Amino acid sequence: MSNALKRLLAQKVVLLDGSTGTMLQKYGMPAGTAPEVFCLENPGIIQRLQQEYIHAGSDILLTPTFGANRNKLKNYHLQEKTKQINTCLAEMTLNLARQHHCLVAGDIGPTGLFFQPFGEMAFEEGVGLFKEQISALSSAGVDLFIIETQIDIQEARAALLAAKEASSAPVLVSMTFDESGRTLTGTDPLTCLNILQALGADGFGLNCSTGPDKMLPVLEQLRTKAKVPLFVKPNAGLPVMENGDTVFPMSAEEFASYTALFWKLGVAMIGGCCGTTPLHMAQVAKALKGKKRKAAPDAPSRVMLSSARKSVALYARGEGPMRVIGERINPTGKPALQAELRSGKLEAVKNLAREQKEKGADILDVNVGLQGIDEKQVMMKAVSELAVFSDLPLCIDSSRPETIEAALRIYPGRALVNSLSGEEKKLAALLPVIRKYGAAFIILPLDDEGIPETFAKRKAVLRRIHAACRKAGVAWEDGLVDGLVMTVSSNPTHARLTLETVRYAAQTLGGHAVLGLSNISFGLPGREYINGAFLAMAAGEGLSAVIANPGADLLMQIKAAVDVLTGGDPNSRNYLRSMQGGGKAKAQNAAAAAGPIQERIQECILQGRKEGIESLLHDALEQHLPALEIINAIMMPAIQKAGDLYNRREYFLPQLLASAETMEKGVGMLTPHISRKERPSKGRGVIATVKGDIHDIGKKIVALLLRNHGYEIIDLGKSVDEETIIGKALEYKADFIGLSALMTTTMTEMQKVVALAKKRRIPVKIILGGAVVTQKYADEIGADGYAVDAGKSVELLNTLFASAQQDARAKEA
Amino acid sequence: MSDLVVKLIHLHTLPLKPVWTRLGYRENTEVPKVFLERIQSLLEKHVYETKVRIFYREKKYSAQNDMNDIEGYRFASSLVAKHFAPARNVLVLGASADLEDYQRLQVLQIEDIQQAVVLDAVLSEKADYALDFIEKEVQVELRRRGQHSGRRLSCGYGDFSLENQRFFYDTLDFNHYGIEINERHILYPEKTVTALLPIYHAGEGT
Repeated sequence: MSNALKRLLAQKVVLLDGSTGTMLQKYGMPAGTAPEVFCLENPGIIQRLQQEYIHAGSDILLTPTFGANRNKLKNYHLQEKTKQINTCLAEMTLNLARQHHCLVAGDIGPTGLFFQPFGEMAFEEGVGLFKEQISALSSAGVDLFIIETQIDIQEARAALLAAKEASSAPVLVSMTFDESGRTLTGTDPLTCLNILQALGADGFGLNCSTGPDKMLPVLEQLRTKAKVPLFVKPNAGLPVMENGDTVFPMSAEEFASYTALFWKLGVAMIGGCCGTTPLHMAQVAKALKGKKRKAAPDAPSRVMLSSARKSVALYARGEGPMRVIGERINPTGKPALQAELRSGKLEAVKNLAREQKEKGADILDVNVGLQGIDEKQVMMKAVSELAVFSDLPLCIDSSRPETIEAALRIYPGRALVNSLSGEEKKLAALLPVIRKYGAAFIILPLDDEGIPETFAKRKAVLRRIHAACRKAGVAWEDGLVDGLVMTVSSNPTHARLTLETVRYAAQTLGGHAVLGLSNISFGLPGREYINGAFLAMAAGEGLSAVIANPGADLLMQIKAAVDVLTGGDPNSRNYLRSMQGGGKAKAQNAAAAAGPIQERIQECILQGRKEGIESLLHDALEQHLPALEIINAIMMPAIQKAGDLYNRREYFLPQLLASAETMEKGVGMLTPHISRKERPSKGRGVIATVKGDIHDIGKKIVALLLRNHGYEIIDLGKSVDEETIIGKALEYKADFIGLSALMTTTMTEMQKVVALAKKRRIPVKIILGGAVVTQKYADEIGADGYAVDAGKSVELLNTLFASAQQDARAKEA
Repeated sequence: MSDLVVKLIHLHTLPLKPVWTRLGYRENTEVPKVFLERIQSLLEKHVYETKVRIFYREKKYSAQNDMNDIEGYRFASSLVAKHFAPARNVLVLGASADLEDYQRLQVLQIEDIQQAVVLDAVLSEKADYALDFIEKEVQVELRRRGQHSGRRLSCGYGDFSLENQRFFYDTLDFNHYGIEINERHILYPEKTVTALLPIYHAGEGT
């Protein structure tokens, strides 16, 4: 941070200026004009406004360059003048500010583009776009930068990195959160703070979107986590309509009434955003008179990792649960994953990420080190995809500093680096990278001489790494000391050596310790028992995190138990939840496996276990149950029950479909065991979405369910005209036609089909369905029936055919 | 915003509750834990993997009685005229499922109907949610200009006829992005939505 800003912050709560855009409107800027251009063409107006802010007491003026980046200026065909526009506007502001001893902040707004991985803008291109604007403002001599109104954490990161690379001036970053309490791309305030302060922001703020009242609870949450000054720039409330005009409703007095509350929460700088005026700032200045910044309360020093969507704290000595770093994304010993990585695919990586999360991982270790691939490129691709695909923070695992740097640069979070060691070359290459990107890091107590065999030597290595960190400006507190697990079967003292290292890291150094667990049991049978016991012992020494396979059930259960015993799981909440889930699942599986074959088949259909139906039917056939009886007496009641449950909304659509698919698979398997004559058919129908309509999926579900219930279905597809439908009904000797339409403009086609069927005197029932269709409409056009959903279509046809059979019987009689 | 803005975004912030509701999940729905986890997992997979393309463009707007005029495109709708008054600009909005995702849905409808309904629900909700997303995104720019937006309206509501889809199709250059429109004014992929958003101005010289 520059000395000038430091001095100012030490003296007082700093007053920024208020809105520029809405004030320029008031001063006659026509709608649709670029404010930057308006300022250049009307220097008197912007200088008048800036004078008013100085008069109100503002200590820092912002350059009117919020939208002066290449992409925004492109809207006015001014992109080639980006440098010129920024330079002129900065100089104009500086000339005035210097006369009044004010500082000037170069104002940087969003580009209006979405950055990868959420959008399409390449990260480096975005950094370049910001650099162009920042370099111009920096050359003009601004004292600091305010990157504001950011709605996407990745764009904010790009702007901050650009500022740090293009200038030495301090950089404050301000995010905008909507009513949901998150940025537009889904990042919460604490996560934004964690990522940006680690990346080197000199201040973190909230601006725009809401009035001051909504900012108070957010500040309350941030104040104990902020290592940098906090600032606010609220709107004068949310805009409302008054007499046909848009107005910001909050008066200067009301706006300023929040000043004392902001001050109590330790806010270091206050300004105004949309709708605020020099009068608002003057009232805030009055309220701030004589107030020095309130010191923030001391917070426990915790390493916090973040993805773009959430943060995960690492706790020491039972302050919270032990964290599990999922180790499965690593090609070593996984030929399938190796093949995928070589072919440039990441499906397996994403599946491993999902599985590990489901099994309880808190952080995902990502290692793509493999002979014959471009590790850096593959790592960047994996990190990009996982940043969107998973909300778990990542641990970048590579032996190559250039791979680690590339991943940290594009990762829209705060990652953990795996790992730093005492090797001279590694220290020299990795420490500047860790510092620049503010990553947390795992420290291996080994050096160029290898892994120390004694605890004293390990301590000496750690001391050397500690000194190197201090020299490089890297916070030792952001490191997790790895206990360096070695195989106990090769040397029984290895376990004790690791535990001593964990104890030293957690208790003597007062930091965090981590273990790559599974190595301890290498070469021994029953590895899970050794691993579990060792985890419990290490937890007793103060272990914060373990690198392990979260799919190892016993280990995860021991971890849950350890959290209870160390006090990291208050009220045993997580433990109870994990035990409950396991118990229930086991009970269900046991129930499914027991009982007579009839019940098991029915359960299988009701539960939609497609993969289990074949073996059950095989067993039933072996017990000499006739195939037809299995369908009619066992399976049919089950699928009918599933339909009833769906109709009562006790099942939802995927459940009904799972049952239907299981039924279909079962019927398919049994059909060859039934003679052609005996094969059940309640009736044959053609089914289609009418001409002009392209909605298909609902009709496909209807077809599936009707087949389940013994109807033969010929699906004609979508956008089918009346001639084709009637022609096919005749060709297949259909007993009924099912028509679907989802739009009011296409449902009229149904009438044509009904009319044509009547004209040609075709003896078929016509039933209708689709979102816009009603019973009334079906009656009006002379259709035979209407079903509100797939379940009801079965009931409808059963009823229609039952009454038709009754009629036929009556005729015969 | 008078030039056409087109962005392809992940939109993984999609709230999951409406998707569950769309799939028929209600308070009294009884789902085995394993099954529930499977659907949740599928749902998350599709939310994170699919993309949506958003389109918007600002246009001048006026209305006289029931006749609306968007830079020379005139259409009758008392609903639009009544709800949009006294807006002087409108934002023409559109959102469409990425074609690749839509094609995947077509394949799944044949191969795995259960997964298809989940993806179908995600794509439908994403397209709708994308319009909310655009609204939120443009608020920053509008506030800075001392403006705010009103309630958006889509074709098919009241007397805002579906025939106006052609205007959206042309204005948002849908053709260029592989979106089609048929003789019944239905957009393909059908996971494509459009709307008009009124923009209200600050009083000049106040």
